[in-house]
Amino acid sequence: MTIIEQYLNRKIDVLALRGGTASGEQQLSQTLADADSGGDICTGIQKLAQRFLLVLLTEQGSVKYWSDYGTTFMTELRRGEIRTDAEMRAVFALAEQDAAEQLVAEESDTDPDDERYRHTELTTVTITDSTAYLYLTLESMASSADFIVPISLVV
Amino acid sequence: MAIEITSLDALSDADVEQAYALAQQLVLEKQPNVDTKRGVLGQLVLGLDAILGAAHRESFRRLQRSQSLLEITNDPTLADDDTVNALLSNYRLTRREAQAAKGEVTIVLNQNIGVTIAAGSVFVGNGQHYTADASYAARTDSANVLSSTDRLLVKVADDRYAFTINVTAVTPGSAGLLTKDTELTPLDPPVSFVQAYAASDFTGGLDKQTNADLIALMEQGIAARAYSNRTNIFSMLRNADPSTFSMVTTDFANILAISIVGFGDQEMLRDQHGLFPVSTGGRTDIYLRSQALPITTKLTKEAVLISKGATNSIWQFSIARDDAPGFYEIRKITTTGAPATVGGYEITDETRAVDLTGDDVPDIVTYKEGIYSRYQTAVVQFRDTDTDTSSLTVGVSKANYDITLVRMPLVKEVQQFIQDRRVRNPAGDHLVKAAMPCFVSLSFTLYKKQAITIDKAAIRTALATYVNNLGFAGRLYAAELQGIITDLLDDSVSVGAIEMFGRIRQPDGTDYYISDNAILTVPTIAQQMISARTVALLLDENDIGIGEVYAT
Repeated sequence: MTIIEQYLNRKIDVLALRGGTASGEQQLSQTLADADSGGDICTGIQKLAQRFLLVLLTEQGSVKYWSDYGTTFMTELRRGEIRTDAEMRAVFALAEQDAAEQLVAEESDTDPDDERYRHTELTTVTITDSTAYLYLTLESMASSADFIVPISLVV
Repeated sequence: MAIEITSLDALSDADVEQAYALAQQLVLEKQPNVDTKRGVLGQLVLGLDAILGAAHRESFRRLQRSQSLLEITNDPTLADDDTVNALLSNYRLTRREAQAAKGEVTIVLNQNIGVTIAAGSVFVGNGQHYTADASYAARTDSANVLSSTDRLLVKVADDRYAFTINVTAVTPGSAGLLTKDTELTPLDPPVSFVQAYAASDFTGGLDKQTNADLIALMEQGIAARAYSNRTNIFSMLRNADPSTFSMVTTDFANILAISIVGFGDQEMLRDQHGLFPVSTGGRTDIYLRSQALPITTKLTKEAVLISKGATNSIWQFSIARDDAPGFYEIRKITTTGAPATVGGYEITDETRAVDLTGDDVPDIVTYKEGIYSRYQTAVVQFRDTDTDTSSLTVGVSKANYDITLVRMPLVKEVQQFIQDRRVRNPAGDHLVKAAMPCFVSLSFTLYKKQAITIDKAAIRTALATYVNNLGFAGRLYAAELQGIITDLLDDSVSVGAIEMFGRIRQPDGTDYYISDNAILTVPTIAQQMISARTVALLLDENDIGIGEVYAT
């Protein structure tokens, strides 16, 4: 199946966290476009991951007129009171629950299973003096999902 | 309120949510493959579009509200002034802009010396600024009084000399109205300055009309301006053209209220002049409330000594019908030029009458029928306890006295206008009187749980504004006053019972007192022409007593 065919009968969004690949660790770039590209569109599990990250990292109350959108995750981190793995897991658990409710509320039965949110697990936490590394595993409603490569837009 | 949205923060969540749903729907219909959930497109495109869409929707809604008489009536504060002006111009109504208060200020010096008050010199009174209308020169000799801005210094007491200038409030509006004798302070005092005070009540200070005011007048705007029914007559009065009728002034447009008593009304006595005591019609009495409160006017009258005793003397003067047309009562009699702080002399006798000379005079038989009209006159006797009369002759000796009285303006002018052959109904006989006065006073206590400062001046102003704009209501509800007071108070302050008092000066000169702490009700006394239709409730801010109790 070609990439284009993978996009058939799916809804697209603009890719905001660019640079992801099917496997392996990559530093993502938080851009909509750059000098070489007019941006990318995404769908499938990539789009679901982006939706989850946007909700998780948006501070609740920071978006005018969407006061319920987002979680308290970044707010808690800014307070600087999280010093142990256990504290991080507790904060994440609360935020993930909140994010899940918001994501699921917008989904419908007609959405593809790999775009419907099930759960995100915090698999590993590493906290240094100024940095926290979190490894997350996101599960959709699909038993398995193919990574659909984002498509660049022509400027 | 402006129609255009100037801040995107002023929208309601519900409106934005609704606009977002609409944008989602439209995009999905046009581009079914675009994900409209709250992702990147959802936030950056649809979200911003929803905010702008909600702003447009709100602007449109405001425009609709401003163009709908129903909406403006329901909530006048929400409509845009310019749009309301345009709408109501269709009904021949024009919004009155705020007008500055004007008045005379007496300046007292401690020596007989010429001084100059420069044009624009600033005086401060009651927190308001006033400027001198022209450059005034105080002269010590009447021979030097050559122009309209030259003023003669008059000796008012030992080492006290006074002259009067005209001033205008810097800020237009009713806040600039001063009552007679209010102290003013010059920012740049002249040489030998002692004091300055309002020589008489200031006039003309009017607030800009609100949308609510205009809506209330709309019926008059539509009404034919003719001497027909009550609405027509009020409309005709307020819209009288000064260029057509010489007696009409610009103040006609600001007349607060009138009440018309006519055929079938029990307060109408003038249509029972026939052989039998039955109403024959053909008469109307117009009770006029030209402004919120009566003005205080000072007259200088020549009195004649009519008797003298060992320690005091009785003097008599008369007030002609044009001296102070339709005046209510005399508040003070003093020797000429006495300072405002001096107490007045006791009135021993006051006889009212009517002067019916001239053509086209209304049908008035008794002085009571003509009370508070432009035809009213009075002869007053008072007891002078200061003047040495040992060398004076009873019935011959005369002296000047300052008479301070209160009256409702425009009584004479409105009578002349109504009486004009071009205006009056040929089938009728019309008499204009000042509204029967009910001088109201209020008294209440504020109980506060915290040590906070209460703005009593604001409370007094709000209460007086409310009461004085009731027109001819006939009833004053304590609950309404309570609501006004509460709106101006911190939550930690409670209002006690409001004692309401009223003194109605009846046409026969006697006072009728009313009081209550729930509903102050104007009685109906037909033979005195007293009723809710003829009596105006007059509340001066100075007649509001506010106590304060710190209740923990």
